[in-house]
Amino acid sequence: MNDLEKIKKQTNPFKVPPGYFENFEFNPNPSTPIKKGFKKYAFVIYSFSLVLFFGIFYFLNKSNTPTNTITNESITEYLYWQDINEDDLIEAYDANDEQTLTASDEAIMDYLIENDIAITDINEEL
Amino acid sequence: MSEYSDDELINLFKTGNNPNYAFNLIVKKYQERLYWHIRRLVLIHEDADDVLQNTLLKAWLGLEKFQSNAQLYTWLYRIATNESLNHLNKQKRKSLFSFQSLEKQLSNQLKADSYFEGDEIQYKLQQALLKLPEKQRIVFNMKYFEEMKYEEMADILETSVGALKASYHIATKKIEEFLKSN
Repeated sequence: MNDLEKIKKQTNPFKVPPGYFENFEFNPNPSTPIKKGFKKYAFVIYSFSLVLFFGIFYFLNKSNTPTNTITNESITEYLYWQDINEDDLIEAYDANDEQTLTASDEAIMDYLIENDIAITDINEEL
Repeated sequence: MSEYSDDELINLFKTGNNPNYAFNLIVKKYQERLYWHIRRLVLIHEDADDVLQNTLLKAWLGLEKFQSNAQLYTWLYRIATNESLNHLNKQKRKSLFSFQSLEKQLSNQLKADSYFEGDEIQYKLQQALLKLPEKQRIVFNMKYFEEMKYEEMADILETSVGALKASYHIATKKIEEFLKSN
């Protein structure tokens, strides 16, 4: 008699809790087992989404953070290497200022007449 | 309960006023056979209980459309087999994240299971069965433990008698070799 024949003559090694079959109840509520499976997956998906969300948030913030702040020293250094001196800056500032204060010749003439300012007065002042 | 034939139970479910009652009669009639069929595949009682519940749920949902030219018993067995295979596949996917194969995990679980009271040789037989491909394991269980006819098995597993005979023969050889070498 081989091993398989010997085993077959033995009793069933698998047991069930006492009264399992007598008290077995089937609950025909379709949501119960499906929900159980879904809940398991929902938890995994929820956790993964959270980690992903905070991960993306962290990396985006990290990359948006300026790595170099502008200091007086860095400006000075930049001007030095670009060969820009103080006069160039004033000139550029004045040019910008002139642009904003530009008035038409007609308006200047009106202003001088209204305030009774002669051209000679201006020359004296200059 | 046993005075009802399968056809009568199906009629009672489809045309009666209380399908719950009719279905519970079906459950009472087949629960034990289905349970043992599932248990021998998934091995652990708690898993077998879950799979049995899922099997019955599928049957409950599908019984309305069940064609009475097929046998109720064959149909229920087919659902139970598919549900057991689904359960094992899920476990396999889970085992990918651990460092143990499913075969090893189930073998360890079985050893620690308080609802398994087999001796050394019975434990070895289960180990040998775990080494078989799932289809061969199903065929072996149905023939060896449940003593089913090949024709019945062919209906349930939707395959030919010849293929089943070949599967059973190969499975038996593999198990005998395992038992000899261990």
